Amino acid sequence: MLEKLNNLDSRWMYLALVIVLIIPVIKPIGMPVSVNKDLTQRAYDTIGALPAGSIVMFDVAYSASTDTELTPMMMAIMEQMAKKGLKLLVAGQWESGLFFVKDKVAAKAKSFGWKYGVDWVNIGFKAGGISTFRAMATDFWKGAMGIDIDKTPFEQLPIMQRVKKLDENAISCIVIYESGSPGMETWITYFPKISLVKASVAAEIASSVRYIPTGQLKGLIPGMRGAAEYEKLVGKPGVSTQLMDAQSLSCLLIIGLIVLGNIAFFSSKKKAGHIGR
Amino acid sequence: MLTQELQIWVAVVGTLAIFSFLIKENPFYRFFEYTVIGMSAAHSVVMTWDNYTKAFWTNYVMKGEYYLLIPGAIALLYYLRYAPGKYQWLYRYPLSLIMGYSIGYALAYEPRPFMVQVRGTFEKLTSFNDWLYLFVFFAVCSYFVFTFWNKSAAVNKTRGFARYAMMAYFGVAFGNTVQGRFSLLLGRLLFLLQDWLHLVNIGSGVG
Repeated sequence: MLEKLNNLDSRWMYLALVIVLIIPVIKPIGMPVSVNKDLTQRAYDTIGALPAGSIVMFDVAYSASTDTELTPMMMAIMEQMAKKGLKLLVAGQWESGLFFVKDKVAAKAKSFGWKYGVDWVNIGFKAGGISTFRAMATDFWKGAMGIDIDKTPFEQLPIMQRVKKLDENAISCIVIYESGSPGMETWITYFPKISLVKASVAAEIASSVRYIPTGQLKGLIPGMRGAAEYEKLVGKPGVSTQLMDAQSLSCLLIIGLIVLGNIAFFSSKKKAGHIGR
Repeated sequence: MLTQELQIWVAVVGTLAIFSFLIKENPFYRFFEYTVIGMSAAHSVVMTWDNYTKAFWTNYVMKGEYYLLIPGAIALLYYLRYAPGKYQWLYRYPLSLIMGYSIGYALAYEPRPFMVQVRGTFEKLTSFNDWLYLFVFFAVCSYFVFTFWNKSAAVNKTRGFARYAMMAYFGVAFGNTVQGRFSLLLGRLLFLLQDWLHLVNIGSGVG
């Protein structure tokens, strides 16, 4: 039996995983979600402490592949911003990300009754990477080529009158939705005075958490789990909350497979008399 | 009932083609892999041209800021990478300029991000965790010192501890990565179940 397990075709495990993921999506169990006080709660408190009317900048540093993890975070944070009366400026270091979230952010803003150009703006992707954002620190309008994502001149967008330079006076907080590079290093290195919150894919949490004790990050939202926590904090359970059952069960399956795999491995070694050699 | 939207059908075929790699390598998978790469590159070029280069020209250069043509001309030297051998070396000028500027700017900037990290290791030692962090820091540093101390039993034991500490870190990173990959798979499964098959209705937020 253990021999068979040792030589099991990995495609059976893929199939088991897909089944374990699909069942709770169709029939949710409703497992509880607790909030991480050191990561997600800090992010929530940082944004929650901003005075009404402050401008929060979203840096969309991801593309379609990490949509499931990061977009629900964006929607939950927008809920909090609407309750607090905060303004939104959407920018991004990844060219595909901004167009990808454009409609979703616009639909969410519309549901709050936000007026484009007054309560929020999407400036679109600006090529040039870090150099461009550094240029925005000196002159935001020139660095951003003076147009938004739909090529509307900044002169016609009243909120842009408040953003002449990319600094802590204009932007109270940056929330970066990041799944890779370029990412938070841009802000940590060149804009350390602006509060930074990172909404992160799960794969990057271990390498990002060290920035929390030093204050370089004011909050960290970890993967889909973090998105579900944020949805709980804003009191609007959404997609992530509903997918957490599947996420948790799939992790249990993997733990079970790791234990079984180790038992099978050591048993076969013992049988062959190889253990310890 | 299956969806009637052509756009979703295209996405479904693409998704299933990419997943077919899990069964085995096949031409169906390869075709969609190359399609995604080609489309991403094309999208990037169009975005840069349409949203930045064109705006740079019409909003600034054409309005009299001709000095911007100088860095523009230097940037064009990048393309000499593809020129015949005699002129190829010129592409190094813009590369050197941007490298020198970026490194100088990062090193001169206050506070230097890596110094904040170094300071953070020492400045607050009030709990067991802070001391443990400091010990792990020195242990891991000693692990990567290869030129001396290699005969000291104490240092060797510390290095052994460092190895376990690093394995713990890699374990956390690996666990999180696996969890993240499941989230991505969930996103695609939800797309198939919700947008294509209409078996569930969880809501928006996933595309």
